[in-house]
Amino acid sequence: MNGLECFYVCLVAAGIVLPLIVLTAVTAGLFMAYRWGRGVKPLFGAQLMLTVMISSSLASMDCYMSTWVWVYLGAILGGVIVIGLLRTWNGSRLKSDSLGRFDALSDLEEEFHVDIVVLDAQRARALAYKDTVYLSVGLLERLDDDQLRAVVAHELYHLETRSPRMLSSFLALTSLTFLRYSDEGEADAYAARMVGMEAIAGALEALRIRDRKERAAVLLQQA
Amino acid sequence: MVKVERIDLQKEGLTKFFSPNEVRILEILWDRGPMTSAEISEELEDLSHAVVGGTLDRLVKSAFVERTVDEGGKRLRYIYSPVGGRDDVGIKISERVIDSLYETFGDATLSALGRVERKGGSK
Repeated sequence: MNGLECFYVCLVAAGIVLPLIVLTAVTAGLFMAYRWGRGVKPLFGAQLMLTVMISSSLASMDCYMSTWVWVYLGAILGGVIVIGLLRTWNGSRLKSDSLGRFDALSDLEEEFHVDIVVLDAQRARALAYKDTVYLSVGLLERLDDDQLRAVVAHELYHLETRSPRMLSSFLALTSLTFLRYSDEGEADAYAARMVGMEAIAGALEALRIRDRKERAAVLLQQA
Repeated sequence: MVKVERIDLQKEGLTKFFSPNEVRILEILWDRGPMTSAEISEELEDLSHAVVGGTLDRLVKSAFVERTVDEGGKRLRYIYSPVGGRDDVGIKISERVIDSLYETFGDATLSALGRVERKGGSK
């Protein structure tokens, strides 16, 4: 038997295989809830579950404690690789959804010194990826000039801080650190400084962003 | 979207093949021709822009509606138009369904179609 097989036998002997699977699913669910913008509490919950998993296995297993370190590091490495692949896949999908750059947006590009690529969608979409701001046609239709400038400023903040959010959240989860990436709020604040609070709050409202009320309230507090 | 596996024969009219929102948008486009999404939204006051936008994206993806980017105004916007009229949609859906039936039942489908044709002819 090699080390991993021994480790598995040891897990089975301790009777914690099923609980570990359930806890992993709960942890993943809480983490996804956090990623879908349900506040920071699910992240804390996921980290708590992870702590329970690690400590309960350490307490109930009689052998191969050191294998846990390797399993855990392997899980982190695997997660990072999966997130990297997802990012690349998203990037290629973004390319196939693009209509390219348009003269109508050249003033905006000059003002913010950034390339703006138009996405082929009626749904309102705005995102930042690799030195470029992507805006959907539907978004362009629904915002006035200042609101649009605020959205570009918001996305520009994401480009400048270059925070791969999925990755940083995943590392916060697995390192059990309570570093929280609240960069939507920071990007809003940046847009409020660059363009104006009314413009960014108006854009959030016009686009019916799900947590627009909370985000506008935070902006108001900062002002 | 008209996926053969999603067709629900218990429903009424075009909602056998499309979602109710898709049918409403198709009807508007057939009646009034090329329109912007803002104009379509005006006709559908009970639906949010997000719902109308998502439905339009789906109709374009399934090729029942097409759109062009209009650069004429200050900003970009889409102009939507239907791909063919009601009859064309009828032909497109019928072909998809008949293909699926033929794949499953072979010549039995053809003889059933022959009977439908005779019935139609005697009308």
